[in-house]
Amino acid sequence: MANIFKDTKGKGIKETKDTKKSLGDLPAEVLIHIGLALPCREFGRFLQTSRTIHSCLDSHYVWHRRFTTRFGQAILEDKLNPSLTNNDPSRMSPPLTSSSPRFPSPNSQTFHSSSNNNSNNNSASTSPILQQQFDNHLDPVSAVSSPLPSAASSPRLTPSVALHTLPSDSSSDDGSDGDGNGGERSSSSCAKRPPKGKVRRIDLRRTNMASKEMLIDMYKQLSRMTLPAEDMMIAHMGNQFWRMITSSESKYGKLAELASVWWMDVVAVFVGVPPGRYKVQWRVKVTSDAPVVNTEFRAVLFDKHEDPNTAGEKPNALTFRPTSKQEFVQQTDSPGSRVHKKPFRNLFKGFTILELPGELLVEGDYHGVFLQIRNHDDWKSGLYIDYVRLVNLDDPEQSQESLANGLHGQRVAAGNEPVDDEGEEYYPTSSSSGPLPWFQQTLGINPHARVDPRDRFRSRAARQFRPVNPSALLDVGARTVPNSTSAPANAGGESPSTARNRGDQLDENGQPMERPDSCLPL
Amino acid sequence: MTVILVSSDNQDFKVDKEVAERSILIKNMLEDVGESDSPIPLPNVTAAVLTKVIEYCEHHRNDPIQVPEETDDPRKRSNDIEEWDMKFMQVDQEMLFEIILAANYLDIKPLLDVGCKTVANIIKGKTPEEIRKAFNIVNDFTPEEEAQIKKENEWAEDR
Repeated sequence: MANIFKDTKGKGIKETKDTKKSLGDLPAEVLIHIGLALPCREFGRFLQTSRTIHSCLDSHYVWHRRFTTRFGQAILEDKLNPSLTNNDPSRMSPPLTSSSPRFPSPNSQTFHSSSNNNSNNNSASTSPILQQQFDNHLDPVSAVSSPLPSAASSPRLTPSVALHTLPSDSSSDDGSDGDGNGGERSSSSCAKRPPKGKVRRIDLRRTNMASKEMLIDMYKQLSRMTLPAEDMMIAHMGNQFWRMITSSESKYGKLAELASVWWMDVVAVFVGVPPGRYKVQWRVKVTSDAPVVNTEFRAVLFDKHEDPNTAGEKPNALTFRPTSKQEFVQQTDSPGSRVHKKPFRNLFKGFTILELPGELLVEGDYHGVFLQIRNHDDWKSGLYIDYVRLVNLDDPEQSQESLANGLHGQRVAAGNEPVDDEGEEYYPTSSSSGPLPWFQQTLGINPHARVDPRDRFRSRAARQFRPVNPSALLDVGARTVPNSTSAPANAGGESPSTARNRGDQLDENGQPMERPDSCLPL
Repeated sequence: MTVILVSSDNQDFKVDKEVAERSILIKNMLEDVGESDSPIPLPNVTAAVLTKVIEYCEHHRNDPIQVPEETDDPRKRSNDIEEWDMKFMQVDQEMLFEIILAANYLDIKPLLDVGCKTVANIIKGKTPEEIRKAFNIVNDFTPEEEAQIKKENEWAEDR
């Protein structure tokens, strides 16, 4: 490296500057400092500039620092100390029982509760999410070559049970006693792990045994901004309720397919998300309204030191709960203007991108993002999940992907295409939640009957003369009116009962449905 | 209490002790020297740069001293540069490098951080070739090496 400053006194500064200074001439520690300040993409590009810079920055130390700065040290410790981690069976294959779908799967209860009280080789500090994400994709080559010490052989890694039975409160305390807090059982400083949930000092000695290849590999996995279905935590994933299928419709080759489930709970966790504004996008195929109507799509932010398992209990940063198909479709890139005229299964021509309304704002430091799709009421089926991703609105190269910027405009313009429903009746063929089935029943509409188009009118006319007493609608018999949309917004100014008397069909909001054009006026 | 700092080109600078001690190097020197009034020589820092460094330390004289070890505390970390610091750093590239080097030599961590973040901001959004051009870096890779390293780091492009 060029000697930039001469240390002999008295010499003028001009003599030291015969060539224009280059960044590569700066001392290594300064280059490292600059490298650590760079975001991921720029760091990768910076490495490509010259040999000096590459050899200085593509080092174990720098990757170690970058990793712990972005993702925290806890994840690395969990990975390196497998004996201390909780040996939960994978959430992807819960035991199959026919009655289970009404309740969360046994694993998901572990997942949702904060303090695991497994006595022996437990760890409240493990995150099965991240464990699973990483394990699914560990490059076999690096797994063989990286010298992961087994806990048995390394005397430092004495399991310290007392450490992990401490309740993990997620208050961010002063970091200065994070190191000394917790179990004092182990005399070695490396085995003393600060309790989960507390802010702690980064001490690279604790995780020095991770090789550079391992660090880079983990960094690659954890920094993904798109998560495929197989890296999500899906309750009741197995064979009967949800299953993973291979498919060419996904660039990952796999989809999560919902056969039928009551307790629908899908979680995707991102960690180390850089500060910025994000949109959440789910790529899904929907063939029935049940999985999406009244389903909550939510996003929660959590700090680096917090346990991802408990993140779901925090207040929402974003939430979207469509109460109708139309509301759902508004947030997707599908042409949605023909909601009531097309058979539902043609509504989404294959996969669609659902973009949650609102922006996810990550401020200050790297944060974790906890995303969830949940609906714990009633049976539903007909959903395929490809992936979920975070689109960074602050990044000019990425922000084009947001529906708010791009496809949205296209969608609105697509409202004039001709309807081709092949004369089919518009009735969802799968059982759906909401008051529609109840109205159908009361009005004598049989959704499963296939009717010849000409006969359709006759039967409707016949129906018209059936006296429908408004009070009959109140007499619900054994079935209670679902309360989700029981107060229809009478935007049209017409009361639902009048509409019913006319024999008009009602959608689940109690509003008169538009009649197909081919219908005779009644 | 004032101390006298002497730059490499023999210019004297009188500063308050408190301001001078923002530099850990100077702080340690003063502790070693004790109550002496003798000026402190800084052979690695020229007058122009020292002026800027002192200006920074004066402005930030009341900032809390940072904990020496890095913490995970999200409250303490911010990726944004203060407005005053941003204006302060609007100098030509040579001076920028020299300030960074001086901050490194004098061990003034906040100034070093700001300087490096400024350089990082210049790098943002640039391709490797553009980075080389901006900072006068010579590409000493062979084409094969360059292609290999590019491939190795391709994954970082959309992270």
